This record gives sequence, C-alpha cells and structure tokens, in this order.
Amino acid sequence: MAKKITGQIKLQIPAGQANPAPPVGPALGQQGVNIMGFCKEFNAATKEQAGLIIPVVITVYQDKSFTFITKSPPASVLLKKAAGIASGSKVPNKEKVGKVTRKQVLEIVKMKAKDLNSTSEEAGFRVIAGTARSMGIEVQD
Amino acid sequence: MWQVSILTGAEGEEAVSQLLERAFHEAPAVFRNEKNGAIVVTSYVRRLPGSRRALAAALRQGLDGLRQFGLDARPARLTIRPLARENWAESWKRHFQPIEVRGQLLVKPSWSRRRARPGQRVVILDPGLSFGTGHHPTTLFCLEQLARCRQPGQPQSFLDIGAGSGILAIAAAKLGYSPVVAFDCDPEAVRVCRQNVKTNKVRVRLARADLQRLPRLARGPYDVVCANLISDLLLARAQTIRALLKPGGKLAVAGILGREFQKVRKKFQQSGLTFVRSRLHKEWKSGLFALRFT
Repeated sequence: MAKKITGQIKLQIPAGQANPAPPVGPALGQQGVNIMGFCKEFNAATKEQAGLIIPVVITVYQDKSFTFITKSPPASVLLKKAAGIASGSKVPNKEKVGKVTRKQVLEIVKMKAKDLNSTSEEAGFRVIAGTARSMGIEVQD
Repeated sequence: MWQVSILTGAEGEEAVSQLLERAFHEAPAVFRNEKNGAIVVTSYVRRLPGSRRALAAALRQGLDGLRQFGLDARPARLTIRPLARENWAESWKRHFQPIEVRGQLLVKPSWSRRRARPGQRVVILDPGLSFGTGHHPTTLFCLEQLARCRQPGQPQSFLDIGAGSGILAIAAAKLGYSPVVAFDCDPEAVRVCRQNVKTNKVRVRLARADLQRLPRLARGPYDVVCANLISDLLLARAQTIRALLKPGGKLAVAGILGREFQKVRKKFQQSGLTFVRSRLHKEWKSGLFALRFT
C-alpha cells in the first residue's frame, strides 16, 4: 500500500523500558499510535542494550500504523557512562567533572559511526572529544 | 502533569530540544508534522519548577538567546498547559472504531465490544507496525471488492499481493475464499500478518516474497487478486499481476493517487483486462478489473 506519512516522533527512551507513562504515552497517544504495541516492539528490539538511553524515530502513517528506527545512544550518555559520572559540568570551562581515555572516545565513535556525519574516524573523534569537553570531561591520551 | 511545548522550525529543533532538556533534565519529545513541516518540542513534567510565569519568562529568555547564536527558532511559540490525567495505555484507542463492509464484514479492534449482525463475519485487527486497519480508503476499497466478488457456495481462490497487516487475506478467508494466499516483501509485515492470522483462526498461506521473485505457492492462477501497492510497482509489474488471474478473475488495484489512475488503468487494459469500476476517495483512486473468458 502507498504509505502516506502524517508525522514523525522523536523520543529518547531507556532500552527495554518503554511504557505508557510520559513522555511515551502522551507523545504517541496524541497521534493515535498503539502505545502498547510500540512499547512491546521497542522493548524487544532494545533488550540487549539495557542501561542505555536509545533515541528512536517513530514514523506515523495516515492509518495510524507506525514504523520506528532506533539510533545509537546520545554521545553525552555514552560519555557519562565511560567517565562514571551522573551529569556533566555546569561550568565546563572551569570545573572538570570526569575523565575519559582516547581509547574510550574511539569506542564511542565506533558505536555511533552510523549516526555521525563524520567522514573519518579522526573526524568522529573530534566530534566526540569536543562533546566531552563541552560537558567538563577531560580526554586523556 | 504539565505539558510545556515550543513550536519551532527545522533550524530550531536541536537548540530548542537542548533548551527544554536543560530546563527539565529529560530529553523532550519532538513531533514533526509532515503536512506543514512544523516541529513541536514537548516536555512532560509532573511539577513546574517555580511559577508558570517565571518558567515562561526563563524559556522565552532562552529562546531569545538562540538568536545570538545565529539560530532561527521561529515561530518559537511557547505553550504551558496542564495535561489532563489520562490513562494513555487506553485512551489512544478512541482513534479506532469498528468498520462495516457491505453488511458482510465487521472489522474491529480486539477491545471493541461491538457485536456482529446476523451473517456478518468478524475480522479482529489491532493497529500496529504494519499497514491495514481498514480505515485507509485504499484498504476499504479492496475489502468492499472482496465482499462484492464473493459468490456464496462457489469455490473461489484469493491472492493478496503486499499483505501488510493481513487484513485482506483474513477477510477473504472469513468470507469463504479458499485457498487464500498472501505475500509481502517486508519481513516485519509477514511477522505481524502471521500473528493476525493466528488471532483470527483462519487458514492463510503466507510467504515473504516480492513480485520479481514469486514463490511457487503464489503462482496461481486465482479467482480474485488484490494489489494494494503503489502506482510505480503496479505499472512495472502489470503483466506479472495479470498472469495471476484465472479467466473470469477479478483484480482490485489500489494505492494509486487520483492523478495517476488513468495511467494505471490504461496499462492494465493494454495487458488484456477489462475495466469494471473505480472510486475516488480523498486523494486515492482505486479500481477493479476483470479478465474475460476467452
């Protein structure tokens, strides 16, 4: 059938833990999407990534059916996990809150390779290392 | 519960999302309206941090600040409103009402209590990952042709090309078509279709395949064929589809935009089919063709 798209919903949901509470419930429910159907499918697709926040893009069609694609976790989430910190610095220029190694940054680059617009690993490294510094996380060799 | 939304455009999406994430420590939901391109970034919060007026002022200041970075977040319209307490796991269901097809079929979601009238066959279908709840004009046209083409007491076979949720194949089986065969190129659709076939306790032979590589079980020929696809595919595979019909067989084609229908009609007539009827519903035009006995 010809698929006519009415809209796209972007959310960030903990892997394997989608439920009808906000933001999933109201965001999907207001567009008429089968919330429980989505939660079941999302949780099945992400159960292996427990502990990570997964960005998801849900495409809603005219007949209210949907498809979704999951993206790699946000760089900030992966960096906080790698540095072992709960949140970034409010004043990243002055106050450093954690450290990550070059190897850890490269692992994050690999994990996010399909979602980064970078043309090379080195360019990807610059993006992730820059994000780390903007959060008050030092990158060590 | 409060809903804090900012209406913005493509350029403002990321920055506005960051603004709300910083304010509420949780990534907001982003909705992009396909029709007008408008983007609404929304945070759902149990309590507002301070007064509504103070929050509005802080967020407006943040939105003004985006301009300093050269970002155009217009229209940058802020809405803060209480969100009625609602059971979201249930309330979305109001979008789906049962559908009756020519008094012969009742298509309803599993939670509906609507009872079938005498002689009506029930198809249970919940909306989900794959296409076809019967609410789309193209699906509805195919359902109607299925019901109309059925000759009670006569053996009639049916093929569904592009099964989606399986609604047409299930409806055909319920109406008494046999055998019923369906295929789809999308593995997800095949999985969902298989579940729906099981829920409805009908016999449907199902395969993952496309029109280029027809599985043996789909080669037919059939008394009735439905192809609810897209115009390009219908045009490219008209001969293949025509070859699936028995003499006297009927073909319902759908998924065609009104302005493209003439081209599709001509193609199928050139392939040897006779035009029977068509219907324009919203922007979609669907048609029924027949293969004459020679």
